[in-house]
Amino acid sequence: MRPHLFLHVASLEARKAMSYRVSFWTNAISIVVIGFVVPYYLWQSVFEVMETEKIGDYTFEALVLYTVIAALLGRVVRGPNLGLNVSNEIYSGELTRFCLYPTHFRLFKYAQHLGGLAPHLVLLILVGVPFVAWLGVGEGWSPLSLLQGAILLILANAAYFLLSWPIHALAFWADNVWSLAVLLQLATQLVGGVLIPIDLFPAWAYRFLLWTPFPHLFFSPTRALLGRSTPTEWLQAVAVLVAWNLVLAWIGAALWRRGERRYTGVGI
Amino acid sequence: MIEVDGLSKTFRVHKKAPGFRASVRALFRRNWTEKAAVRDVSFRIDEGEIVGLVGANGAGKTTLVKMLSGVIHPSSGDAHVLGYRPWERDDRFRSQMALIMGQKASLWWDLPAGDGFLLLREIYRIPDDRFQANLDELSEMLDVRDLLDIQVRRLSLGERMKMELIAALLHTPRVVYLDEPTIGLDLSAQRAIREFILTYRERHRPAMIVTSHYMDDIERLCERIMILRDGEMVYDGSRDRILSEYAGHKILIAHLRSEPTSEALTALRAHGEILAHDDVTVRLEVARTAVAAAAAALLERLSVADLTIEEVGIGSIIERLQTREPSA
Repeated sequence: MRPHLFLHVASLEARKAMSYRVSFWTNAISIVVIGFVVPYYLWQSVFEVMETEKIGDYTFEALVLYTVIAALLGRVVRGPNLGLNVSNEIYSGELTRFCLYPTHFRLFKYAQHLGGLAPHLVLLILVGVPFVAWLGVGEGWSPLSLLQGAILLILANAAYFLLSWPIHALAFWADNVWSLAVLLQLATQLVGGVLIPIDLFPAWAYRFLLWTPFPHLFFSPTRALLGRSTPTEWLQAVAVLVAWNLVLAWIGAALWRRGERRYTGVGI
Repeated sequence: MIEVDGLSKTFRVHKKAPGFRASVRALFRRNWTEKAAVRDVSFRIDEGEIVGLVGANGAGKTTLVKMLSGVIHPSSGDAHVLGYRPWERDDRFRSQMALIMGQKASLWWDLPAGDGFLLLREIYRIPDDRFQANLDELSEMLDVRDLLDIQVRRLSLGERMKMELIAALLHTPRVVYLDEPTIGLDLSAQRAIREFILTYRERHRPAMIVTSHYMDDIERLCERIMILRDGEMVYDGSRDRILSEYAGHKILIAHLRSEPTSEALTALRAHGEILAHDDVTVRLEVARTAVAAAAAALLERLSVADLTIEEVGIGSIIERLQTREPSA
């Protein structure tokens, strides 16, 4: 797929994703309420009940900051995943039009996926940055940590897309895979570190999870941005994500090749 | 340009009896059945030909088109379109082919058609000057120049179909499949689309396959007709040959001065099939060789004010061929 086409598709998707004002501002409000206000009061209650200054290595401020940033980055990592909707296109026969275009379907969808990030990035800047500035950015924050976080964010975004792809491809066999897509979303939130930092898990679970892609979707980019990662931890996260991305890309392509032979193009 | 050799497609479909118990049972055990949608179909289509592909619902028309456009894989047989196997989806093949689906939108619903066309320019790598010339030509022919900036979802069905046609033809494909291009449109929109297709064919000479349930589409657009019945090709030939080969009957229409008696109608049935009758009209279908005798019987048995003799229309022959072998 030519870079020019890739950019054109992403730009078109970005325009499409921002065509509806009500949806955009509803999302903005939900970020403030669910992403910031709820975790803030939740952790405040937890610290009060436990009558402690720290949980693990985290003070109250550090934990709220982590949760807020993880939630914001989580939106960027997941992107418009439900909007990616490939399984629904297989189910409804909408895939047909993409079978006709002389272009690489998965890259086309990835371009759409990236384009669909536009409203999330705009909201991140409009809503997230002022909130984080109000909370205070913490001690470890630096241009290098920002760069490290951005690199992990790009890899994590690709990993989430590649993790979703095989599940969507299963629609060639199962027709409806909505429950699997929801399961993936819940599992990644739980063991990816969106709800709580995974270094608060038992040590054995934490060590095991670090070899899977899940903690590097949300936990590692957040820690890197906050300057809490050591160079070794950051390198391990990059290596694990690159390796998993290659494996997932291969699994996704193999499943797709087999699955598309079963496609029936219903509805026309 | 299109060569098809023994193409077949069988679908495996899940069968479930109605009712709650059957739904629960299906969670544990499924019953599958095989349905042959297309059986051993072979033909060849050359450049500039418009071929009408007709058949009753479920006859296999759309399945055949889907195989020839590369959307689905065949179960057996082979086909080459522009020298490529469609289902291998070679980009060189896909950039010279178009499938227009009357029942499925391919444009981006939330965006103006103009934005969708710009994306198609990138997908098909259409040079800027050719893109603009094609867009001008097509939007002029279809009279939609003023609608390019309006969200697709806000257009009427007819306007949307015109935009779909532009989207499919912007890259000047050499092979065009039109699947029900006039479905759901009013008569004037149908006419406009048909005129457009004929003009486009005149200018660009692509090979075209048109599927439609509207006999007007087939009669006005196609010199050659292929008829599918239960997945099998039962006719492949010129539109005119259908008449000479299968129009073995004529229709006698008698306008009456008084209501026909039941005895008279019974006697007429000996000469042919009464297609319809009321107080003032009788329509009788008779073999060509029996027209004179049937006309004489009509004049003798009924009080006839006027008698006309008509050829059986091509539409009704095709309709019969779709469902059963016509009596010659």
